[in-house]
Amino acid sequence: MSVFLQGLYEGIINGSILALIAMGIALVWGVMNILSFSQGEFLMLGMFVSYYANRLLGLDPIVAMPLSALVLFVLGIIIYKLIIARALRGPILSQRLITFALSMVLVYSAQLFFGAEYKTLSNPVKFSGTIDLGFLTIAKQKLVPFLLALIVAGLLFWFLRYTRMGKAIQATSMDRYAAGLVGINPDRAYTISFALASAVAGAAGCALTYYYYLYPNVGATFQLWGFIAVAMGGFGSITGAFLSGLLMGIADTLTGLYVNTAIKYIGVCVVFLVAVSFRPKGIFGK
Amino acid sequence: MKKFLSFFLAVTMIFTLAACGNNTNSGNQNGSAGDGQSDGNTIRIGVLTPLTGSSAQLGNQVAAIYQMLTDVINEEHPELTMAMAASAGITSMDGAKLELVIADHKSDATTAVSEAKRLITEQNVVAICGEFTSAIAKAVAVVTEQYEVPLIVSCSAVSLTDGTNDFQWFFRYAITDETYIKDTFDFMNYLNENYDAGIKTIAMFSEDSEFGANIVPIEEKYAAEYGYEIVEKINYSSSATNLTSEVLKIKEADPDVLLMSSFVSDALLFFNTCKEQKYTPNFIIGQRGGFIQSDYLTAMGDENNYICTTGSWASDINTDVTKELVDLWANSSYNTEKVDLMDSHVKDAMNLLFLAMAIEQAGTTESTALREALLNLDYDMDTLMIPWNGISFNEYGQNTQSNGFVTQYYDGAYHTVFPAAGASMEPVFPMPEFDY
Repeated sequence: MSVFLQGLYEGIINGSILALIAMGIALVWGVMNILSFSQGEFLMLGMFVSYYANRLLGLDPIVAMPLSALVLFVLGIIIYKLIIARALRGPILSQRLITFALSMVLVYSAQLFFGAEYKTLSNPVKFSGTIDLGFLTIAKQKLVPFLLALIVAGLLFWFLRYTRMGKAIQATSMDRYAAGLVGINPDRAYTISFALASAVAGAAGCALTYYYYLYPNVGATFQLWGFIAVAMGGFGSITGAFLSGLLMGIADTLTGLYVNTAIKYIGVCVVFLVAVSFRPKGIFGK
Repeated sequence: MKKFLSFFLAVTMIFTLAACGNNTNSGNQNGSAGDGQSDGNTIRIGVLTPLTGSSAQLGNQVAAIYQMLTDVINEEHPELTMAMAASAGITSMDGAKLELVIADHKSDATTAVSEAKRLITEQNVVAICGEFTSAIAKAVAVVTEQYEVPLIVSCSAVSLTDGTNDFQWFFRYAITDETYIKDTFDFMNYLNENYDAGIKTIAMFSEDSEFGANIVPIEEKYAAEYGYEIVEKINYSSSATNLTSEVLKIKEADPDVLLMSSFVSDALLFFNTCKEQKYTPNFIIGQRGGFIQSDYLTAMGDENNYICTTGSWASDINTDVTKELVDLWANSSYNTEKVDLMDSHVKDAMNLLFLAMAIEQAGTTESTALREALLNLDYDMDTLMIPWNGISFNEYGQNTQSNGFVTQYYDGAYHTVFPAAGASMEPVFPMPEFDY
């Protein structure tokens, strides 16, 4: 029983990172109708911010998290203004592929400037250690991605539903031109959405450095599962992306634990296939 | 302002791409791209290594050691014991100098194949060596067989030389997984007999690509032969986003010895996950892979203490050539990262030395003569970097007299613990607990 509980708990924790990536992708897709292939690379950049904050300033990732989110938010604005906004005026294929090209530039730039070798945090992390409950072992640092996913999901929900800008973003996602007619600046709504998605990935990257190694291609590993979580939750649904990420983490861990570790990702894919068989637009898709 | 920023970003990207490309070409520093001729005074050697991608650190280090070794061979070093060092260049070819043409395979088989073709057809290299995984070596061997150019590798998959491929231009002086794994089980018997270790059960933790998949059946064979019970067998993807279920299963089985076939990233993730689960394996023996790479050791630091790995070279081997080599590398201008010399570096460096010796022996770079020389190399074991039992090839291009040993990490370096005759440290069994 304790192994099952441990597996269930770890599944939720592992799924939190997927949920965080998926929420960023869902936000960009839901508002701008662009599949953000660079979300994994924003996660990678967040990890590098965390790594250097730890190495140069001795900061814990949890302390570096606001800095990382801010850096990625600003970077998101710059990238949107200089690249994405222009591509949005072009043909649909360009819109879809522009973030793919961007992801390649970010990976190779990281390789050039930070090196291709594997890195882990070099200075001791203060927020670490385990809490042993007898039936459950809780690694403190692994609570960070879970709590972050909860906070981000809550904040995004609140922001989109109850703030003026959030409502403007929702209106723009429904009909960009109609939103413009009632005085909403669609370009501003797009900019904020893209930057917010980047900031979420930046914060997730910080949380990930607590237990995962860092290298320029690290984003691709998580991004694919992020896309599946978005498709399973329903394109554009933040709640769907969050819950699907957690569900995928649980499926991954329990399949590995009770079926076979060699095919644990089949378990995840079976859950996805079943979900879209019953709900082709995703669990929360409309 | 926006236009200026766009222009600035575009220029930055172009410079980034140019610099990335430069990284690849920088390996070609000795090769004058385009003319593609090995004239009488220079002999072009193709070096395929990952300069970018996930194994870039090791690949660049191997390229650097090759450059250092090429300088040693091309210049006169009468003070050194190492083969090919005393005189300048290839004396049987009027002192012809070696010239490396270094290419980046990016740890990608498709890139490796196209780069191997380019090295042979455009750069006219006489042979190819470098840093390979077994999967990449297998892909490149198809090209070198087609063009009848010698390929010399040190990766360890048995399937490369078990006759299934019938390679004629493939050479492996280094040992295969079969020998490494036999060493592993001999070591466990040695621990039981001499240190009362009481080892009865083992678990296997193997990544699922060519490397790990080749090792699993050999470990199973020796476990049955030596009478050890396998209590858990884990196959996993080295690019997994987590290894939680894998660690939970190992923890539940709690084997006396855990045998790991892992690369750098997955080994790091495994140990992090173990600590999260407050679990220290009783004893760990790695099968080289990530365990002998510098980025793994840098990331692990003292947490790697008492972890064992099989290997074929360690800095504590008490030979003149080993001391010379360690000293040369420590003071080399090519050692820009100031990393210690490791097993993975030396195995690859040996291949360049063997190639130079074969050219010296053949007195020509004609491929058939070079192949004959590689197969029937005259050598003095006291002048080689790794003191193997000997060199003699079977019909599949495998040296049958190479041998390995087991090392245990302590205080910043691996120390030989088995076989006892070459040991510089007593093995510590079981491992102390990790610091949770």
